[in-house]
Amino acid sequence: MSPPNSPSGTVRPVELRDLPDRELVSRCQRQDAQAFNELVTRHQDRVYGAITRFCGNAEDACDITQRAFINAFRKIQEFKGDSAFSTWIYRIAFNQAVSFRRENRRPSVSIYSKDDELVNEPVDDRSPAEGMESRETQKKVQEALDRLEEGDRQIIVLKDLQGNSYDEIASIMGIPKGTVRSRLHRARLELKAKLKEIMGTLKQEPAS
Amino acid sequence: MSCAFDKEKLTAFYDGELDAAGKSEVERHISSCSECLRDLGEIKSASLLVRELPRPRAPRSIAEGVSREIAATGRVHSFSRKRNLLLWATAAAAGLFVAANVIFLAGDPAASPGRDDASAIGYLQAPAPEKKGPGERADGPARRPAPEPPAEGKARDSADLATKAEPAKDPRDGARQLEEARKADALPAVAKVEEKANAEKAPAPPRPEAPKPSAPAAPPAAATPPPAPVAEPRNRAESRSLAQERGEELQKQRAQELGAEQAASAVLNVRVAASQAAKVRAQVEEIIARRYAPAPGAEAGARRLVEPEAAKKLADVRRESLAGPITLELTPAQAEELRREIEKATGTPLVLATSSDAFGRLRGAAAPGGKSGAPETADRAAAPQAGGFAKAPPPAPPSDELRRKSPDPGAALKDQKAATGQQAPAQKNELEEKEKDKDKNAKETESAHLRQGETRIRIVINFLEVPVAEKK
Repeated sequence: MSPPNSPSGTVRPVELRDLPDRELVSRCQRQDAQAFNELVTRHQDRVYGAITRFCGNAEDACDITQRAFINAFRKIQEFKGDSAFSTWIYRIAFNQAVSFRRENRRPSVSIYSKDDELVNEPVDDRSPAEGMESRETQKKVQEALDRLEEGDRQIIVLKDLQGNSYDEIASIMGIPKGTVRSRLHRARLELKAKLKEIMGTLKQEPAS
Repeated sequence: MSCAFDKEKLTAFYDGELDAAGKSEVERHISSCSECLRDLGEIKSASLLVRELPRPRAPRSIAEGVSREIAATGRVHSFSRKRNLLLWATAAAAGLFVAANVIFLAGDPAASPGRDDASAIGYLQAPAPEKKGPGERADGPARRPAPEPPAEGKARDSADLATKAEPAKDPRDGARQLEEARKADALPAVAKVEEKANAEKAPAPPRPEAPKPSAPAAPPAAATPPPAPVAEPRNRAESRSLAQERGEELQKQRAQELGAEQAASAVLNVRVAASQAAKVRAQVEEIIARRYAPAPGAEAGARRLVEPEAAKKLADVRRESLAGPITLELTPAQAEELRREIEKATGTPLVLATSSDAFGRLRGAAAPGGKSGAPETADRAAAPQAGGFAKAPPPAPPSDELRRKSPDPGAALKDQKAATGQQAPAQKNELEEKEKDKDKNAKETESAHLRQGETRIRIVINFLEVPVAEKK
């Protein structure tokens, strides 16, 4: 990649943030730590958000996310580029989360009981009032998520929270695309049931 | 819940994962199925609830922790690379060390006695062209350029080195191998083996000193031959291989230590029965003391080379030997005179066995006398030939020269027979003519060498025990 020219005609150095993930990964494979730091900066919010919802614990999510990126750096030579780096880091992070939860079997502490500020700190411009007007609703949704099985919770997080496509979910979870659809459907039905249990009723959204 | 429609398609429809046909199918179905329409609404509601959850920002500690870990990991990788490099360097150094040791041991004949006998033989051959075929042997030495005259101190250095040489493991082996090597190989080579072995076991000999000889003014007589080794008993010949090996080993060691100085020495082997050893030894020492006793205020004509301590040590190792050698530094003329004295006193035929150039000097010094009463032997026949020198007097009588230059065992036997008056006249004449030609060639090629009497050579007088049968 040739460095872009500035308006004055001088060549400015290529900044890492201008590089795509694939180029950064290539640099990481040449032991460029700065390139990996850029990848961490680029993906840490999404990974941390997904793991936070998956674990329901901000502190554990922090540790898991950090370990996931460290493991990714250690295994960066194994990354062949068959999928996006984001897909790869999600897979590592969720596997790390599953292992972490198995190693540390302790009652999950809701993020709403410890880190309320995290809940109220959106990363986009959406207003929470559009879907959930109150923190109570958010707590109930998280509680419903926590009650799901890991697989259902993972696929819900990947699809509804992270907005990944079926193909990406299939790659992250290592399952066929058709299985993603069926499992996602089942997970949503479970989530709906949990929400009804927690909230009493589920607001009916228009189908179209 | 009675609708049998594939509910998963509702999820896929909501997620936009259906193709156009599937999308149309779902749209047609939900337009007519209130149940599926309600389910789709619930799916959408649940999904929206999750989708509307706030996304927490990752704390800075994650990136910082990852950065620290990456740095540490990088150090680990760097250390790992350095460690690997260090391991490889260590392995390479160890390999070099082993290789150096192998090379060192391979080059050390004492450390590898069985190694490279060919090289030892080559060393033996170098000063002793008799190793060549019988046809080449007579011509080889005469046509070879004459070696450089050794420096004054070379003989002493050689003796010093010889005293430092490793003693033989078995004292009997040393004496036996010398005898066997004498039978099997050329005289000069054997002489070196003997010289070395005897230098090792040499006790502190009496310090014979004599006035500085005037060798040029007093031309010595020709060298006399030693006893015939062909008369060795067969049981001794059976250990020939062992003796040869040991002799070659000593030669290799000697070659490393002395190098080119090998030529500046000669051996005088006095073969006596064990019962006569003390007597003969005393006679020889008396001769040396008498002939080379230093005149008052005069420089010693002969110098003892073997240091007492070294001689004592070597004598301990070889205490089974008959007597330690006496090592002197003499001019060729003195050496020849001493040989004749000892020969006369002991009644044993003696020969000054030496390498080619030393022999050449001896010969040059001894030639003017040209006469020796000693009988011709195979030892003498096997002695290397260096030919005459430009400043040397006329050659010795043909018969004497002829016998002295006979190199091979067959010729040695002939020489022995000739010494006892059994050689055929015709054969004798033929050999004499041949020797004349050789001497002529030798004079032409070796004219630039030692002037007699100016250079001393080391003379090692060995007292070798011989079996009764041989003595007889």
